[in-house]
Amino acid sequence: MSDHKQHSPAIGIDLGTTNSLAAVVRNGRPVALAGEHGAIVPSIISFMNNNFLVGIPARQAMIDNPDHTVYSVKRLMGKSARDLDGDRERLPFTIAADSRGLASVKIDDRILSPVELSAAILREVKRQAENALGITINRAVITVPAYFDDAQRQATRDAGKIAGLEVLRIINEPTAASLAYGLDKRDRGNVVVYDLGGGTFDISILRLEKGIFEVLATAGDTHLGGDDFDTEIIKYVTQKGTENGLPTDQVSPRIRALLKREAENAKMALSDWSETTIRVPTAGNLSIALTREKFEALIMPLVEQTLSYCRRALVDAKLTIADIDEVILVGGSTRIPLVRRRVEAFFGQPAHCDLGPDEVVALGAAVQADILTGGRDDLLLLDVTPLSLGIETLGGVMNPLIYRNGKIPAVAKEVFTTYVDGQTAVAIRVYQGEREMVADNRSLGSFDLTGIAPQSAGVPRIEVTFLLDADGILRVSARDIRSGLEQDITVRPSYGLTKDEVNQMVRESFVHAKDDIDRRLFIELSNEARTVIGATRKAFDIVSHFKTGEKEDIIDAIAELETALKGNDPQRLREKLDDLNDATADLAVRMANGAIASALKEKSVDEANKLVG
Amino acid sequence: MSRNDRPPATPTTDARHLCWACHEETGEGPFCRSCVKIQPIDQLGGYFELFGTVPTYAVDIAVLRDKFYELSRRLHPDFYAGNSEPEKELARNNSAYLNAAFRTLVDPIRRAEYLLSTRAGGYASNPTPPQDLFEEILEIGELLVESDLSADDCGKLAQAGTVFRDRQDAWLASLTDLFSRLLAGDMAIRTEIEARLNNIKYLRTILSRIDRRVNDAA
Repeated sequence: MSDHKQHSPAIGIDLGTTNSLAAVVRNGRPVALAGEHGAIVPSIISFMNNNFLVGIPARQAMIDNPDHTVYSVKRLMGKSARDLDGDRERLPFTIAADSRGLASVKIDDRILSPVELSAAILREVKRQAENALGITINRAVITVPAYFDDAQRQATRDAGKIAGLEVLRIINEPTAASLAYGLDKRDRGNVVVYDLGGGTFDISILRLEKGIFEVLATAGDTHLGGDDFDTEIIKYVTQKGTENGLPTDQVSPRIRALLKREAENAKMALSDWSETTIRVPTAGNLSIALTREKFEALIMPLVEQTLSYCRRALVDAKLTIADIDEVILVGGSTRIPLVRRRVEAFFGQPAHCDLGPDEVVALGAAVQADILTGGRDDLLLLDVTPLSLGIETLGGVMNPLIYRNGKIPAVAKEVFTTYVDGQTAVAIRVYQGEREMVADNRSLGSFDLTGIAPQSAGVPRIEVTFLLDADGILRVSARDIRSGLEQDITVRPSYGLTKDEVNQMVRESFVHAKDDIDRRLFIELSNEARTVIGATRKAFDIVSHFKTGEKEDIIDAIAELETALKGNDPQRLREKLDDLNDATADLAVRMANGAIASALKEKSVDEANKLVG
Repeated sequence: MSRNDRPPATPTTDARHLCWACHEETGEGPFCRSCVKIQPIDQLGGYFELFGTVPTYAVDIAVLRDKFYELSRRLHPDFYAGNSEPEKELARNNSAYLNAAFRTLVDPIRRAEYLLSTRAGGYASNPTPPQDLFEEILEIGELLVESDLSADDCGKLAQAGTVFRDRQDAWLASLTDLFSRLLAGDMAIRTEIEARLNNIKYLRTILSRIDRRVNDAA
């Protein structure tokens, strides 16, 4: 059974702000993997006592148990607690800072990192995929917004690792969508992917030709999405409520959670209806009317902002609107009629979402997983980095080494030396962003060159290589130019976990409840069980002579094993599998002898038995 | 700390390289001719050599792109995901080098800089405002720092943008001839190329700032 690990397919996972799902390539086509509640796993985790729920069951708990139910975790990835000051107000759960100031969620006395929380979601998606496929899954491609920075990508990667997945690649959501779309609908021309999801916005412009998907430019905002539309509705309703005597000083987590749900429902209703009513969950049970017109006025500035990113991406791609052959809509928020209308007006052509804006990203990720595991080599995605990467120079000025919209992998080399006699270490601070001063950009971390042989100032010459890999994640290496030897380098991420911290989480995270281990064991055993049952049935066709009661015993053992297969107890499955193996042991020996005997026609059965023995 | 962003290529076409895996001579392509393992492509001589052309300023962008796609299909890390760690690392580095090469050759300014640094002993970038456009540049400079622009100002910016862009394009076109003389051995032409390139680079910076202002105002 050990070799089925290599044969198990790699899946594609769309880890969304609001919803997540997995897909796999079957017979050359990507398909979404549905669980007991459908393919979509809401990205919600709810804690109770010592247990937690993920997905649909957790969604029910949002109202009953609001301060123990976490959603929109993706917004916390790779952020400090201070970055999230603006979100604190509207979230019913508590955002806290961990010991290093990174954004975390506080549930009772526990501090949970967004990486672990995302791992819990991934774990559930993985479980669902395993149930759908009937095999264990070890490898995945996970998607992120194109505009995610290094820290956010690393955090996603780490979450995959904690969830027990080898992350083959982090790919950008709009490019993943283009891959699924290009496979199905169009294989050449300039394509715009407009991706407005629950929490993030991306625009990518691609050139498609002969199976190559070349990203020309990307732009976006990792803090602009459907969540913000909900917030606009909640602000409006709260304001209306206050005018009608709703006390504002005490908006409990429960009311906040109810309002969030009401806002989501209203938003969706307004895609089909011109007016809806929002119930404000207070003693008075206030009802407030919201027209589509009013809703559109509330979100118009945000929608216009997405168009200004489109403009920037066009400039960066060196294209004009006339060059665009197709516009694809991705993400649930593109269902909003205003969004669609504005995008179509901007690009002067109808926009398409034939593949379903919710699934297309996961489907594309599955295609990429297929490519990376050797399933096909006719398609190739050439992606870019959304942000310039640079180092700090004198006066806090940003010195860019790799420019935004540069193709990845991308490399830059830089020579460093010492300032002081006998200096043995040099710290290099790396940033991402487009602003002139490093203080206005995102600090990625410090890379410390250590173990430099003490020499006069300026004598050591150390060449540092900054390489952005195909995941958009930075790898730094250093070499002493004179000796040619690798130079030691220590990485201190500003907004991420160190290797040790990740490894500790892999071992100790709450995500690894016992039932996960049981589940994995069960799946492995169930594979073995199915194989043995199949082989035994085949033997029945070949063998005609049985000992008294032997065949009946075997049939009973198969029936019991099949019953165990329908349950979820690996212990019981093991027992029943052993029983079947015992019942067929004698038959197996006879078959092996027979096979050898017929192969060695000239020899006597006795000799053949000796050979076997 | 010193800056070193010159392209790493020094022409070494006649150098012989031994394969990292089988230690035989690799031959000329990106794959070892003995064991067919991927080799570092930065030892193939330079960007033009990688793209299979002689060094020239007059490149055909469509041909470059086709070649870039073809090379990407052979070198991209996606196709080495199941290989050994050294091969994966090589694929990463090779792909990064290929991307840098394409980015350089496809852009008329970077291509000029690359030719100067690899074929004419180096190039020190020093963007300089073109003498005859001095007045216009001054006027635009004031508009560029203006906090809110009137529609009239925006029109002026856009108009100046057109003038500068026409000039930039004309100068870029003139580089083809200048470079063919340089590459034919006329080293005296080097100073003229450098001065023109510095003017072009200045215009490009101004143009990108104009574009940004006009875009923001739209």
